[in-house]
Amino acid sequence: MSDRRVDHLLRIIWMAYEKEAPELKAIEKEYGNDDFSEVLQLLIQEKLVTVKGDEIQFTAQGKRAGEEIIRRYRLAERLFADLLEIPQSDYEWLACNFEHILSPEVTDSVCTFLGHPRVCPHNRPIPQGKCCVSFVNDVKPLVQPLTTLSLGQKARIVYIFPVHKKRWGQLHQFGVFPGNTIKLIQKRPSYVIEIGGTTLALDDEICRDIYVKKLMD
Amino acid sequence: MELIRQKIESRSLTSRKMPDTEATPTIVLVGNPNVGKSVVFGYLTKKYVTVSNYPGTTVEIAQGKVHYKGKTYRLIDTPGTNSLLPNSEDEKVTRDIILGGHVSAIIQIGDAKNLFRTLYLTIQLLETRLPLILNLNMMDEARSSGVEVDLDRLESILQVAINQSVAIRKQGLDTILPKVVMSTPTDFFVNYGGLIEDAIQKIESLLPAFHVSKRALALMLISGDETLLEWLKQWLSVETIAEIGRVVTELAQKYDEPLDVVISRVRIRKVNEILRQVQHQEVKEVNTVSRFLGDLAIHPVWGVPILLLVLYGMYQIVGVFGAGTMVDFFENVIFGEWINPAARYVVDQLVPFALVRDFLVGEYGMITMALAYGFAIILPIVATFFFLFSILEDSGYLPRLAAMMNRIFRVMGLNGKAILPMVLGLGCDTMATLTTRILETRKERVIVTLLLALGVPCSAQLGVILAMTSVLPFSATLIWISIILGVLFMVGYLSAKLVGGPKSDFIIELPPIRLPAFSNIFYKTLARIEWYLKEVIPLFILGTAILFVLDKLHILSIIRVAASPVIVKWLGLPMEATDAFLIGFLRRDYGAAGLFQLSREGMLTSNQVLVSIVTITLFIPCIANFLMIIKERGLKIALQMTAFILPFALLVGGLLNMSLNLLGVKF
Repeated sequence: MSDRRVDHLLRIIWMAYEKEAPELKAIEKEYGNDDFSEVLQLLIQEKLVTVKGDEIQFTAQGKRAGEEIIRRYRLAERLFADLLEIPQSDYEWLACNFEHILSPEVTDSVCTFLGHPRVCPHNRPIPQGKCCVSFVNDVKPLVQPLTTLSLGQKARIVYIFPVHKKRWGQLHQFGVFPGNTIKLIQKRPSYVIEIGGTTLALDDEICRDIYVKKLMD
Repeated sequence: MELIRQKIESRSLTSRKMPDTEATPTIVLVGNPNVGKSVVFGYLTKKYVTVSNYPGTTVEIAQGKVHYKGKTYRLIDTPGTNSLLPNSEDEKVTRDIILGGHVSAIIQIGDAKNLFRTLYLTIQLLETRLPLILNLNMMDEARSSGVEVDLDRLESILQVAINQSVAIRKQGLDTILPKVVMSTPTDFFVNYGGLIEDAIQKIESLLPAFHVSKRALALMLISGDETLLEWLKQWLSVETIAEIGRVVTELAQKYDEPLDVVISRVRIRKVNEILRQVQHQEVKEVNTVSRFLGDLAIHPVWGVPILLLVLYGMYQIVGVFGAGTMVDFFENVIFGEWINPAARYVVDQLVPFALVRDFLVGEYGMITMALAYGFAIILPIVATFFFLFSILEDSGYLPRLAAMMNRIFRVMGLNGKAILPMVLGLGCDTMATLTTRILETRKERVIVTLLLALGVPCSAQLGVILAMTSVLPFSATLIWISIILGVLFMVGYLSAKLVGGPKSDFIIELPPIRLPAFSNIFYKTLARIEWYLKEVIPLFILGTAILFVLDKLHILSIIRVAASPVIVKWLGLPMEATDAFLIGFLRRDYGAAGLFQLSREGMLTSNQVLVSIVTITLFIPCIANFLMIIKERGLKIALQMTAFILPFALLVGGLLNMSLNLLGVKF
């Protein structure tokens, strides 16, 4: 499957599935290019999707392929958005290109490097890879949960994994926000962090959702 | 209650305007918690201060008068807040005061060391387009910790006057008022981007003119503040409100994240952008005594002895001084020697009817029981407790206690914040039940309400029980403590399984440890005592009246006969103890007092003392607390709780009696 157009369409179908039952017309519109029917035929030939009337369905094989593409795309987004701090308008386009060239091994390395993120910058799920399940740690993660810091360590917040939305507003107003610097004071009996001039006590699980990049002293 | 974070109730705003009798221009002090607002307030108002609870809440608000150049202003000190999008009842009260009207200017007090949080709030305050000045406090600490701020630059970016102060040394406070009276609304503006700006415009066109800008209201509505929608119903038609709802929903569909997150992100970026321009140095760490103590109080090892020390201090002040010395004086001298005999004499002279005489000064008399009880026994105890609680609150210790307890409370489906109402319950369960509002979920409120009603003895009851334990060997007292703690923990654990609902997050700020200002403690204690007199004393009177009626109709004696087998056979207590438990229906501590009387008369063995204090500690809540449970949780839950607690208390007492007998333990 070297055809970039095939990858591209597979990703669009996948993303349509995440929202609601996809209609062929909507997918065609999202795809945007006029070679839509041609690429769709390719997908059908490769037994990745089946089309019945206006409805499009993944085959088991197609589902796997889509999952891999979406994983590469979203990991690339994370990499560009969080670590390289490239603006959204640019990183989406970059990620589009990146999704085609990452090999499975490199994909797992990027994933580990980023601390096995669970969502993309738009909060959509990133499918898990082998590395996430087996915790392969050949590559030392650059981004890791706050809980892995040692006491007194300073770090920069890279992203916060959203579990519930209320949590974010509360964290924001204390300055717990990507880009700001945090210091871990204590782990027991509660996590205590310092940010700006503010000291906060937090649940362990909230700290597990705050991903940081260590700072050298 | 600055440290007690209160959850927002959606019914509210409408009926909760500040009492506003005169049309004096109002200036409000706004700021993050612990930035020195109260000190500035105290300096500006000098002695013309009143402290009262904001209507319908336990949030205390201080108001005072300020004179400047022949004009008088009303100054209100608002509870500490981080955002105009309230996360707590405190923050909601502040928001309500700002939106409530009559505000002619805002003085924002900010911590110069923590410009991020200061400016995050400033941006929102400026959006209301009320005249504002920013007073950066603790400038000395900021300088010594290496924070350098380009104030001229900041003034020109925000277009507001900035004042610098070191409030505790009274430096820089005289320039505040001249700047405030000169302040005007500014044009400072944050652009939230095309989609949101469009929605703001649409909503603005639907809103009538308000005392704060429509833009600020639109942003609050977009951020999903439902309490505000409720408030708007006063001015807007149902259709308009629905239309606003449509605009917000439509906007929300265009984002993957909740809109309040999108908006707060824009604000944070703006703050960071400003900070890059005006703040030149990273914060250095300064080691101070306050910091050392603060770290010690949450230390996994040292935190424990500190906690025990605090508890011992409480016992000495509330238990020994309040419940002992003070109660002795009020009960035996003031009421025993003066008021009661005088009242009896006057009533005997003036009232010819025996029934009325009894009602006033008899066994269950208004004066001899209700007032003597409320003023002579309970008041001294709760007053010392409130005094101590205010000290703990202002010192910054309570949030650290919550951090220490968080893991233990997790097992009960609660988080560390639940320790605050539980500690308050040791003073007065009724007030503590009201304070469960600080908890975020319904589940937590129900569980804590139950635990308070079941096994947290209030100071009055605790005083009597502790007096009873003095006849027991220490091992028996330990059994009492272990059973109560064990029961609380077990019931908490089980009810966490039973009561459904999401769990809440534990995020709590640990303010610096500091020496509380005496005047603050004094006013807070006074405000709480006032609350107690207004809310609880009437319930004593009601409770005593019910007892009086039951007694006169001889219903008491009927219940006594019916209940005595349980008391005598199951609990193994003497027949006379029945009375104490019957009274316990109305007040657990009345009941405890009755048992204490029996114990003093030598009618109880040590085993019986132990069984009776366990049973009475777990016995049903007093009538005041019961009414508060109905008010806060509804009649159904109140009845369910009582239906559980009553047999359960008897069950635990009976099982203890049986085990003591079977094991042949004699204390």
